[in-house]
Amino acid sequence: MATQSAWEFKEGTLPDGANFEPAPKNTVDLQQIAGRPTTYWNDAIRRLRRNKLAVVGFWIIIALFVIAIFGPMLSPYTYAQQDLTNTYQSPTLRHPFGTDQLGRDQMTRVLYGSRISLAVGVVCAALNFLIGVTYGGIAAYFGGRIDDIMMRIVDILYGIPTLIIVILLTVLFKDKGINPLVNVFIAIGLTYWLPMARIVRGEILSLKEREFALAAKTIGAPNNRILFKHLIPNAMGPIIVTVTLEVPSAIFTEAFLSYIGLGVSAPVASWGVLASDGTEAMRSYPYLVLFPALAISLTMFAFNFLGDGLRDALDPRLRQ
Amino acid sequence: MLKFIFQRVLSMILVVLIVATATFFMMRLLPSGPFSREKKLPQQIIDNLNARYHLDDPLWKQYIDYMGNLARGDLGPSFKYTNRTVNNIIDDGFPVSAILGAVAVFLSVAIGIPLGIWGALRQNGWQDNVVMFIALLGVSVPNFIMAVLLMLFFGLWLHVLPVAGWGSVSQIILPAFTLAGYPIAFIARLVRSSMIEVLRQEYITTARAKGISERLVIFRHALRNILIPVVTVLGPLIAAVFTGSFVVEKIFAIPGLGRYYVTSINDRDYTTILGVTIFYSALLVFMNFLVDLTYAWLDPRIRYVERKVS
Repeated sequence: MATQSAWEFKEGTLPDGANFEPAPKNTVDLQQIAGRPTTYWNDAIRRLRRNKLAVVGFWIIIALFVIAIFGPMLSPYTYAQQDLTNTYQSPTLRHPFGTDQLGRDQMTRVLYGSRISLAVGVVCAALNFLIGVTYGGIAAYFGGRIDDIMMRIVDILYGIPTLIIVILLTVLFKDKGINPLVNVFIAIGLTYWLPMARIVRGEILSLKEREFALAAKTIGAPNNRILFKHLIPNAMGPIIVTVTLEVPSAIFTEAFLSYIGLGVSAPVASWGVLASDGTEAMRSYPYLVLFPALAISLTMFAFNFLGDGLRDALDPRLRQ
Repeated sequence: MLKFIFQRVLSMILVVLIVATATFFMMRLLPSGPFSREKKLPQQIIDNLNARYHLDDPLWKQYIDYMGNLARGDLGPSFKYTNRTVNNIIDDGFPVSAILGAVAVFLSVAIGIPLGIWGALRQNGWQDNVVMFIALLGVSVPNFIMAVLLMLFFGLWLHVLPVAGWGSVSQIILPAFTLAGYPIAFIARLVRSSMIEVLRQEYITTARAKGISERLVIFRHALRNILIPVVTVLGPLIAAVFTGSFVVEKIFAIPGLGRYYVTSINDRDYTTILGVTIFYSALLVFMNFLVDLTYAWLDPRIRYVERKVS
């Protein structure tokens, strides 16, 4: 191609019949032709907005947080409040989701359960950032022997199904008499950073070879500054996608553990506990299992929709 | 290739050893022993029990004994069922779980791949949207919820399938579909996206230019390259089927290993927890190994060389 820029052609030098128009020289006019320059994030948000399912997922998640924070406050009942004269009520205006075997308001319990599930999600996301990102970043940045040892540990932990590790940890902590919800947090925190560590390592391995990393090094920036201020922010896209897809699986794990009796226990209402109680009364009172089931599924949907949309929006390889 | 197999076998043994060691010390660290009851037993009985199960030996000796027995395939006695060994429990439960798991894996492949291909061939059409929506549904609905919903719908409302139990073919259908739900969805999504990518490649255009039927293009030329990503995810999916069986077997009252495992956890039957955990880890590590071998066999481009230190 010609090395000359378009505007370096002088009037009359264009070949006959060519209908070229010199491009304007100043940037403002240039932008009118090319469109506004867009940043990585603006571009991603624009594409995310076009994905209807992802937008729906995003708003469901916002709504869930609002409900989790304010829902239980607005309810006239508490999650443990029993009313033994009104057990197994079908859904009515007073009890929109009915009442359970002890006359507790199922709606209040489901609302309260959203707090536990979202707390698990938030803790999982936070620990993913704290442990996973740092671990993967350090392994990749320092490389060599450190990387080998650190990633070999991850490989070994990866070989065992997460759920088995989580179950063993919960058994261990349960007997130590720690609050069951904290158990679940610890168990999830100790295991769910593995995929994140791998992904961050891969990203940092390629980013650290780039010129801006070298530039930071030449001006004498310390290692932790280069890693945390220069490299990791550039890997934010994949990190966010991984977090969004890890959160629903952590929420699932908490519900699963509570369902098989290893998570939170009565009278605390986690969605897993509610689903488990509901399953037992399923033959006669199917609505008891239906509402927690819907709540769990809707939450998982929302996060998966958003995560999928984010992946499509943030992955440069999928650009049209 | 031989070197690769050798390395993988070594690392398999290492993983199982680490799991066994970690689980062993975890179980011994627990403050409540296997014989702690609500009602306190007389000291003499506890001493006798401890002597019977060699729990009065020093920890390192217990560990060496356990590992020695493990090497011979002996997982020791169950603490809960006095006349059963952990090997008995696995012998009873595993065949049931294996049948259920095999049916579920078969269903996931047999349904997931065609669904994915169908979606890809009608990319962005309504059929594609339906396939993708079903796939997202399958990934999002937890297995225990799926189990309950299938049970409610087919068992209690339509009365077409038995709600629970084990023994007849009709009793396998609901639990197998429950277990297969997630893998079906996962495989369908994966096949769809790789199919779309493969169909854009030049060798497909060449095949079409030769004038062979579309069916041959898809099934002879494209499918082979799609199988590779499917095989790579089979390892984690088999793990998902096994861990899914913990809760599915409980809900459908199936006497499989998953149910025994959950029961042993709730009973604090430490030797059974330990033994079954080791068994599951060994099984899954071995499955992953088989998957890797299949992968190498399917795709000759993959060279298994020693991992270079970068």
